[in-house]
Amino acid sequence: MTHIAIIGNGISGVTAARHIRKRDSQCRITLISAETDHFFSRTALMYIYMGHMKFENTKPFEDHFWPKNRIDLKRAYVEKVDFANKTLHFDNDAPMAYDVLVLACGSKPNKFGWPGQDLPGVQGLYSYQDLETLEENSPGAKRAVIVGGGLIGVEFAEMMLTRDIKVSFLVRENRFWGNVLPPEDGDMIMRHMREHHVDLRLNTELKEVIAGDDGRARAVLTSTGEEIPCQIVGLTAGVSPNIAFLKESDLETQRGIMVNEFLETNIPDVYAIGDCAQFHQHPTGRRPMEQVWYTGRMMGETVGATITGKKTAYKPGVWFNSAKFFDIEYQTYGDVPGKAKEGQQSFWWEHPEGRIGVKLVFDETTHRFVGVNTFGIRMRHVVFDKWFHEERSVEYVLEYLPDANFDPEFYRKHEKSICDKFNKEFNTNIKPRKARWKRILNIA
Amino acid sequence: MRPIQKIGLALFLLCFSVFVISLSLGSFQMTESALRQGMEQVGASEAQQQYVIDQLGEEDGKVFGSQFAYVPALTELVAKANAAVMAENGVSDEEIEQLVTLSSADGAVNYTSEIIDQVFSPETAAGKNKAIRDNTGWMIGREFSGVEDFKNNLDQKKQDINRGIVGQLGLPDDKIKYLKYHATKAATVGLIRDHVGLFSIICFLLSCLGALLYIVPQMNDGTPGIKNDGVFFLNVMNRGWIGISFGTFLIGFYVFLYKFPEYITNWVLMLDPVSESISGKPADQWFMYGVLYCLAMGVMGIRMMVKYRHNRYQIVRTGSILFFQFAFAFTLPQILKSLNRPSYDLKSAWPLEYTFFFDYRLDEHLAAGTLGWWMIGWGIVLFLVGVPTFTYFFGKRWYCSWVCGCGGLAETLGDPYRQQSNKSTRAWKIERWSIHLVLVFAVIMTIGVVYSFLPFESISRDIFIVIVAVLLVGTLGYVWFLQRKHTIFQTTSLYLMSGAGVMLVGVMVYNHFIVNAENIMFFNQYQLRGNYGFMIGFVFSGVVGTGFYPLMGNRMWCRFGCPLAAYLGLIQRLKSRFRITTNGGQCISCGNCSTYCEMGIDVRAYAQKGQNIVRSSCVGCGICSAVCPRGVLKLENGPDDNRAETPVIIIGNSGVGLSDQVTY
Ligand SMILES: Cc1cc2nc3c(=O)[nH]c(=O)nc-3n(C[C@H](O)[C@H](O)[C@H](O)COP(=O)(O)OP(=O)(O)OC[C@H]3O[C@@H](n4cnc5c(N)ncnc54)[C@H](O)[C@@H]3O)c2cc1C
Ligand code: SF4
Ligand code: SF4
Repeated sequence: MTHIAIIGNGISGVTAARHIRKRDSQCRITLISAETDHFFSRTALMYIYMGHMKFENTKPFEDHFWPKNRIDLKRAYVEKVDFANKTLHFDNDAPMAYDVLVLACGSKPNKFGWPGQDLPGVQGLYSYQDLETLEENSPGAKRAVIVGGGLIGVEFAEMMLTRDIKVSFLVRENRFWGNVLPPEDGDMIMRHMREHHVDLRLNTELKEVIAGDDGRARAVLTSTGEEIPCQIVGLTAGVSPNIAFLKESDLETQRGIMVNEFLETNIPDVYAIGDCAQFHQHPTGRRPMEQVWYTGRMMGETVGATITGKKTAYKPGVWFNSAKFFDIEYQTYGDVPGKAKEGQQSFWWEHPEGRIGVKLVFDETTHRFVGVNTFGIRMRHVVFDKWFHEERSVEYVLEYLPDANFDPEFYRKHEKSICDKFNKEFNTNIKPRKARWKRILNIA
Repeated sequence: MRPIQKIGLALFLLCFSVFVISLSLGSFQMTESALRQGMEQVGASEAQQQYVIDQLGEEDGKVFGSQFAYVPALTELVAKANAAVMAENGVSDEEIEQLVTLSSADGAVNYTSEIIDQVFSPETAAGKNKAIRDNTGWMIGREFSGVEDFKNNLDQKKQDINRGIVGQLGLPDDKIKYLKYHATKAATVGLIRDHVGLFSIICFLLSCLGALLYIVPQMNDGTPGIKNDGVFFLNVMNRGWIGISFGTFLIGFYVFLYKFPEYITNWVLMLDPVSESISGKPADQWFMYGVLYCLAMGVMGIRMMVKYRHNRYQIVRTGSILFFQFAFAFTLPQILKSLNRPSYDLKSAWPLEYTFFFDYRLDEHLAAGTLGWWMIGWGIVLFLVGVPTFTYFFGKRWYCSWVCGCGGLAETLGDPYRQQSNKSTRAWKIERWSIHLVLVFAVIMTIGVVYSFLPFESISRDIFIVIVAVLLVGTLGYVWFLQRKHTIFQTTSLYLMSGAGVMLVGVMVYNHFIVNAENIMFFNQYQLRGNYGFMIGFVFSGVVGTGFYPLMGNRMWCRFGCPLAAYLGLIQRLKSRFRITTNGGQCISCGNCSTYCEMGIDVRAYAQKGQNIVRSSCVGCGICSAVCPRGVLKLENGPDDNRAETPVIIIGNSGVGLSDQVTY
């Protein structure tokens, strides 16, 4: 009986385990994690802190799911993998042999060697343990300084504010999340953060964390020479693969574990998926590491097929993602670059109240539609996915935009206002058509 | 918290305390006029009243400090009156003894008509004479195995006779029950009686004002959006002592309301002026309940709208449910009452409105002429045509979270407790059994009740049986037909459902056509009615349904008990355009949707697979969609084909293809 060991019970490891079990009812599956007994949703960490949910609520499967599907859970830290002898060495238990190994060990927050980065009160936000640390750091804290402007940073800020802890947010670039969000989009989000009393410091970097008499973080020193007193320092300047335990081995790694399009590493029967995987060459030509939930899930689905005998290449479809910035929901489909690309044009519409916006990006000459960002308005994944496959023009997209609307019933519609603005700017005469189920569901 | 909110909260707590304490503020005076007033209300005759008044004696004019002292005194008084009735009019032990002695003069029993006349003179004791003849006539000339046997038979009949006499001349139990309440209310004197207006303003107006002062300023809390910060830290929402106290209060409230209204007459009294100005009649406990219901829904409905001010679905929906409560459940019946018409809440559909087919309601309607006929017709069309049609187009939500009163309270007063509902698959299993059993019980009871009522005019029992059988069998056939195309119900459910239907038809046909039994469903209709009313009407929908809000979520009743929800749910699952669409692959399995689903549906389990949510229990409240931080869920009506199918693969992954269908 084949024994498949999976290191990491995050979304990618769990998806792999589930798909393996669905396709092969015989093999033995062991899911290993040092973090928690059961799979929980990392993306929901903030909601536990803010009191929207309990930890229990963030578990996507009930505890009886695992024994029922004969997926063995093991709570242990893998200290070393002996690839030659196909054996795992744990911190708390006897070694375990495997036949196939899936590395799904995720990420850890980046630390860039700042002085004082390891002081009590300074922390990242990635694991369940980080959340516990944050709970310990919170009582009595008056201000938090958050370093690094990405999604986890905004979530960190929102969390702090729910406990009446003021927030200063250091962003290295001149714009929040500047490598992903185009200027208008970023401006809207920054305005919204300020509306929530976030003290945004653009073009500002962390120089040093200063300790107080009690040995805890007391203030940060910024690149502008300012000292900001604070009790919590949130390090949210990105993540990197959590692979220190694999470094001294034959496994080929760079920033992450190197894999080919089949998610195979350089060692036979060893695969890497999720946040920790780095492609030699990304199958779609995108960045070699995409550390998000959905890609982890898709890699899990793919490796599940491969391991159970149907060798499958990782082939993610059109890019999509989503997030929430305080009260503004964000969804994106296709490719909307932070900095405009040569030969592309973009269009921005914003609601007068300033919390709803849509960005469309298209090819300058052919007008082929390449990507959309939506803020405060929900749009349908299926419909955009279809439009990309059909290589529709931006005019087509606008005309049929109501098909894509996914806001709850009775919400005010904005398609007409969006088209009006486009018509004015591009001298066209597009009128949005009524949504039709036939088109949405692709019914012949 | 802003100062104005603090003032509001303090005001509310103060007024609420006055409301609770007011129960202990009344004094009750035992007077002839109060007693008569109470007895008028329960329709006691002059003679019946006189017996009670005669017993007053030195209690006359006595003032009791609380209803807890007054009610027992009243009960004793009535018991004495009934004892007097018995002493005067009942058959006594001596008389029975006389009958026995006379009948068994020669050792054997020879009971005759003459003996009856001898003991009960037809001239001076005509009543008793007749009663004895009516009840023991069959014993005349009969053989008994001995004197003992004869005496036992007589003794037994004596009790029946005396009960009948008390029922006629004294006060029977069912009247006493209501008398307690009416006489207590009428006997109120002192603080509350003297300041009815003041108390009602404090308890009903100022309390709401306080609550609103606390709630409305939340309009300005941050930008509009989901406001669930701290929900799991708050004592009141997490089975802390405040939450448990509130639940206990609600349970107590229902127990007193249904079973011991005589102890809460002070609350009713405060509303007399309001009731009189609307319908011209004094308030009763149900009017008080109606007012409280409306106020609780109104205030908490406003809270709902403030909380979800960014969400137009929630605002429109809450507006609708408030409208139906105020206009249909509260005002319309009051108007009908003031016009001396049968009070009827037009939106309340069978089988939630389980008394709809009870003989007294049917009689009441039939007595009301055209309007009554129209009401009966409306009620039948509503559940037979209206419910399936609307549910086909809009899903169960059109009723459960847009119209229904129970749902209305759950969506407003109960909203803070939605996260307490149990999401486990075990709970789901219990739910399926429990709610469908209640539906079966409701159907059985109603068939029994209607059968006993019939025949009526051209509707014979035969026709009724045939109609019900055709409806049941036809529906089942349709289910099987649809099931051939798509798997809708699990096979076990389908067989259970069919088994239950076939058995019902079988029982009906057997009892009616073959053995010709009076009790078509084996049990006496009054017994069925009584059990249903107590178990389902009172315990389940009242005590558990509302009292358990803080403990097990706000839809306990709707989820586990409501037969109408079961019926709507079957249609929603079977054939409806409603679904909650899952937005492709956007779900991050965070769990907000499942956590805040009041029906305990594990929404995430579907969303993370990219599957639409088509569940019979979904009431379409829309909160899962509202709280989803990734915009994954949308309630909508669309083509019903394939709406519940598991997608081959979640959108976004082109590598794992069609042939790799994986189902979980
Ligand atoms: C706060 C936060 C919010 C996020 N929000 C979003 C979002 O909204 N959308 C989105 O797309 N993505 C989001 N992400 C990113 C997303 O959560 C990750 O991309 C995803 O969880 C990665 O999954 P994974 O399975 O690859 O790894 P992980 O979830 O990191 O799981 C790896 C597991 O392996 C364990 N492990 C590692 N090494 C060992 C070892 N040696 N021995 C034993 N166990 C080990 C770890 O303890 C961990 O439990 C968010 C991340 C965070 C931290
Ligand atoms: S699934 Fe959603 S809409 Fe349905 S009852 Fe639950 S929360 Fe309400
Ligand atoms: S709330 Fe939305 S993202 Fe979270 S689990 Fe539910 S559907 Fe998925």
